Amino acid sequence: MSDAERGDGITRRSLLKTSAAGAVAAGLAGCTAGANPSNETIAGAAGTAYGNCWMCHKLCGMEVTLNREGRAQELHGIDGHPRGSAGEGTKGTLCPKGLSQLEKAYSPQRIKKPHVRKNGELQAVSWDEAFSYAADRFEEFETEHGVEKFVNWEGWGTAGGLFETFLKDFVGVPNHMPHPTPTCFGSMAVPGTLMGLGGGNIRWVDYPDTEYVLVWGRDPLETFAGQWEAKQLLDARDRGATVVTIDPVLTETAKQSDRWLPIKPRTDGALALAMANVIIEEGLYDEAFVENYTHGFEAYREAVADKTPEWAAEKTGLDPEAIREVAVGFAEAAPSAGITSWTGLGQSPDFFKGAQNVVALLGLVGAIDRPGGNRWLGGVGLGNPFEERGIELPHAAKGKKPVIKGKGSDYASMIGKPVQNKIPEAIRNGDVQGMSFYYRNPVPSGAGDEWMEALGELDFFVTIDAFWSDVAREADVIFPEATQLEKPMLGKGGAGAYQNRGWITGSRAAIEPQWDTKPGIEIVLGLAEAMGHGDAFPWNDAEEYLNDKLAPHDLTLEDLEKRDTYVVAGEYGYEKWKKKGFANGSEKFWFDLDKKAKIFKGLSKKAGTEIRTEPQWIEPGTLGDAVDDEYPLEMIDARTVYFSHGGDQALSNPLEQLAEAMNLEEEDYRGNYVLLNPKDAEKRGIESGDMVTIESRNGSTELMAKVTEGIVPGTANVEPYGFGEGSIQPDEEGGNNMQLNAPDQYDDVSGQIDRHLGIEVRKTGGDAR
Amino acid sequence: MSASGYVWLEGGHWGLLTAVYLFFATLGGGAYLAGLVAYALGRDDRRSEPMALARWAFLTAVVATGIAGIAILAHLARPLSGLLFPLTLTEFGSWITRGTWILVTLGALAGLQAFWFHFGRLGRGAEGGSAVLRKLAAVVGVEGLLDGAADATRPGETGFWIVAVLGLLPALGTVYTGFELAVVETVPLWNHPTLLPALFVVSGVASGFALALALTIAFDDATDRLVVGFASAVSLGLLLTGGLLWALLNALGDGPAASESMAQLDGGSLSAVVTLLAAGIVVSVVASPILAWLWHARDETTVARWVVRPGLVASLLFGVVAIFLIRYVLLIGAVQSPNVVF
Amino acid sequence: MSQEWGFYFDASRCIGCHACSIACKNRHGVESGKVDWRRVERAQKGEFPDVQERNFSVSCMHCKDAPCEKVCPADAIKKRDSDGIVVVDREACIGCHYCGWACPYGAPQYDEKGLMQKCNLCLDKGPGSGVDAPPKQEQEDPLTPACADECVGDALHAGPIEDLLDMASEDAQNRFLQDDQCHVIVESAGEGSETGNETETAD
Repeated sequence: MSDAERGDGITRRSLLKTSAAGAVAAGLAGCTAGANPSNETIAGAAGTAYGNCWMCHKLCGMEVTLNREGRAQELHGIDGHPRGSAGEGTKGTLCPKGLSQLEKAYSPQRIKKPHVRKNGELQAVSWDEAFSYAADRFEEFETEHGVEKFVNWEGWGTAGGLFETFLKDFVGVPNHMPHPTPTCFGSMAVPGTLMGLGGGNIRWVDYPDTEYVLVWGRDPLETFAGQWEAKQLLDARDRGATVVTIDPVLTETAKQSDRWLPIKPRTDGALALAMANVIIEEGLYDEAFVENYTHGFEAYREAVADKTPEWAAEKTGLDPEAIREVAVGFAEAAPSAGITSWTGLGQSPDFFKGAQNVVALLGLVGAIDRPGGNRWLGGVGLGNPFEERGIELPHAAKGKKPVIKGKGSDYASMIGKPVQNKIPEAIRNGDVQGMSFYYRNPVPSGAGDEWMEALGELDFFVTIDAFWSDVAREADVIFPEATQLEKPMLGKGGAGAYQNRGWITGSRAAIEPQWDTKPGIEIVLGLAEAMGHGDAFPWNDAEEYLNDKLAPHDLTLEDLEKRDTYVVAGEYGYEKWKKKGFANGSEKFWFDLDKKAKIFKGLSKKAGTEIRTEPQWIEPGTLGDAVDDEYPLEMIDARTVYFSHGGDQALSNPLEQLAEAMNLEEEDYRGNYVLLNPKDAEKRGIESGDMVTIESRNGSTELMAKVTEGIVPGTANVEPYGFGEGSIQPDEEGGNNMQLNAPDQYDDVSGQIDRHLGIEVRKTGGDAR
Repeated sequence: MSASGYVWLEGGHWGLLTAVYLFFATLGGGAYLAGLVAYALGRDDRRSEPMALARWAFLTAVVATGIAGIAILAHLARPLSGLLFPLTLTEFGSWITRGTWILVTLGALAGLQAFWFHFGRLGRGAEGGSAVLRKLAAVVGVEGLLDGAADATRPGETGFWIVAVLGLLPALGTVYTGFELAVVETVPLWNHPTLLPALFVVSGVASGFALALALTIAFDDATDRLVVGFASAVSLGLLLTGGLLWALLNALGDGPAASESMAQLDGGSLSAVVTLLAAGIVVSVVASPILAWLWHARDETTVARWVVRPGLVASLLFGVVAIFLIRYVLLIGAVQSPNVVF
Repeated sequence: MSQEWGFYFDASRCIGCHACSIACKNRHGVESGKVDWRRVERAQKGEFPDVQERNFSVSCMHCKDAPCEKVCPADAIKKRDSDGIVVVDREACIGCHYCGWACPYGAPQYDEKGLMQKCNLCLDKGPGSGVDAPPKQEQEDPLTPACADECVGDALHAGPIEDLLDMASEDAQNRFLQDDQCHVIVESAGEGSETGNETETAD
């Protein structure tokens, strides 16, 4: 490894220098944190071990108290940790998910042994047998169908991409379903990138320096990407920054904000246009930035000329004075003003334009990568273990034609991105015959009913998972994975408490893999060996593999543990677009996406109305699902602080705390809830605690109702998703609201599944009205 | 929980078993008092109906305290600790500790009275339903033995009256059940230091009189004018009970917990029970003295035998059940004051 | 009083995440099943769109004149003179639930055995522990209460009352000193709200 620049100006040497200084500081911090410098987890000695939490996959640092038998007893946060604290010298904690890692490690709901399907039945087998069985089945598959008909799905697996590398470069599988775009926030990510912000960067605000934050379609105090977000947002507010939440629901962030704008779902684009109208009218925009670094301002100015706050008030249900005040406040504080947004504005085709309108505001006030505004975070590079060992990848997928992506594919979006919702069709057509799921479950993500059916039609299905579900039970091979406390962890960033320094965090396994499970990396190692590629995978275990990633930094996981699991790198600056340009590959930020006119031609055709390239208002239902007389409520859904996606619904503590948060713990029910305004509930004879059916044109499911004043009438919020059919909730309690989603309900551009659906809600077993 | 800014507590710590305990404790106390009054009226002729009533009363008292004891032990997580209360219940500031001593003392003294009224001088030769213990003893063959023991242990008339009156203390002392609830400041439905204990002791006495009388009419066919007197006392007691209950419910105030409790009682989950309770009181107040007078005046007629007598017994029992339901409603309808967050 | 321990809670920093509830359960080995030494409650007020909601993390208040101590017939509950922590001796507890009624905050919790367990300001680990523990201020390595240790929003703190008063606002200090029955100093959550424990006003 050379000392060349890696990442954003972080050289190996500067990282070492910082680590050395960090070691001194961390040493002191280590004493106060009560860390045991010797991390021996010898059975028989009480001690301390370390971890990096993987519940929401953000690696908050963790101290693990062990008893004499080596069993984990308590978990605690680590002070100063980049994800688990508000920064240097501040307290580190673990959130309820992290704390539930203790229950997760020892949960009896775990898959305890490998399973393979023999004569139609799943049987528990040894790892050796499971690996050789899988190897044989892969070989048969290749002969009978060809690897082009195999699709790999990886969610938040901890093998660091090793499974995908193995399947792609050694087995030759050319189909990999990406995670964020089709499932997560594609309708925001794509326009965000096309405009130049970078899709993911709509999340990160420079909290330590900000004066005004619009929390828009996101709830960082509930669904923080690492606890640093919640801590820094509260600190910013307490320091005097203004926090405004724009959301149909009175979220935790709304409760703590200076202002809550209770906006009608999918009308955010109108609010954004009106804000631009005011900002331009009052001359509060960043003229220099607009002049020198943007394209399409004239089209933008014209587009918002008649979008007054009064006009927007009618669309959004908001007070025009409030709109004006927020617009002025935001612009006056800029560039120390930011917008944090995420899935709330990213899961409907209608948001393709809505997101564009919102992102445009950042360009308007020049708040991109400036102190206090939206931040472009730099990171630290990690090594490549194959390169470390001088191993050449055979690139077996080269020349193989992927079935699920590319503009020629029947199952891809307008711009060639894989569409998760179309895969059941591909399976029915025989174009996809085999799949692997690693820490990912499509059934709660979209077209739920169609997926459950399609899984049964697969010829070969492999899954790596930790908990049982009806999805896992469809597999031909189940590789049970160890959970976070049982395996070494490594990651870097990026987003975290240190807004201008990259960092690395990692730890060794705190306890042995429970039952007969293995860390994901070791599953790949075993499979690779069984399939004849052992030479190219020389690592003995997961720790050895991860240490190779750290090699360029002269660190090992053990070293990291001695430094309280993290090291922080050198500083990087702001305004990186001056040198590097924007995420669209241009030197300019684009208000107007006229250079991608083809996309909008396609959208216009689909909508039957003109979708223009500049910021524009489109009514909800233009591209997405419409709310009508038959299905008069708009379904949205959310995560809660107790669960991350669908990975923890097997744990009793979070299930109970969720019920307590809803004040419904007395009910014999540990599923999810649908939140309704009293106006909508009363009309339907529904009270908190009633079981209700939510139904769309395409499907229905049953869950418990919660009536609250904290939601815009006409909205039904499923809180959280990840329950019901196909989930790991032990009795499949709750409702899988994606059974209501039809396969053709997705964003044509990004492939993002449409989660904003017109529904009706009825008390189960009775007449609603 | 509506959008009121309140945080409600779970409550619901005591239920049916505790209601049974509270009811039988004061029933025991009231029955003891009924026994003393009956004896005062009939001590000159031990074969008389007042003596039969006294026997039933003291038997009721001891059985009631026994049931109360079993009910409360069954409610505890450590019943053995409850049984060993002189060693374990050391906090005399607690009404549960005080009450346990009162109940056990009452049980002991009622037991003693029951023994002396069934055996020895006061019991020998007794016939009819009230002599049930004698009949049981005869079956086992220890009648004579017990008679001897009773005579040997019972003090003379003065001494007897001293013991009897001393027994009044724990008997009326069953008012402690009211204090147990009244000192709980978190429950507006209970927190009335005079009304609630008064309600409990008055209704308890009424229930003791009513049950003792009902048993005597049913099993000893009593028609003596003491029937009218006792039935009138029961009626008066129930009237006072109704009044005290009414006063209590009106003294709740209109705080959130009080309103929640009242909502359950008035048109809510407890409204059926409250209706039953009220009906029981009204019926018993009106019908008991009237039917008692009719029964006393006409006990030989067929109508009297087959309609008035059962009707009177039923009327008295309605009152007893209503008095139990009061405890039930007060326990199940109890709501703790919420915490104010706004 | 000065050496006595208590809590400080700032409602403007509580994000309702329940980390405190689970941290407590982890430390004391209390599994799920409605025994929560520490609960996070939510109170909502008003009508859409003028609606407010606040979170309130509550456990035992370690009250000055603890009503639970007064009503317990078995003398199982004691407020320690040394550090002011109210502890329960589960060997003496008979499971009568009187303390459950007496407590204005719902602190006593009852387990499958029917015995009472509750917050002991982490004097020691486990239900009913800490009865014979040395005073908090004399312990060599006193446990930082797990709830305060893991509070994500930095809303909950525990320690000697005088230290906690130092971090409180004047308003919170005054309210506490006017009525120091509960050993919890509570910070209001912004304009127009008042976070308190007055059961009198609730009537």
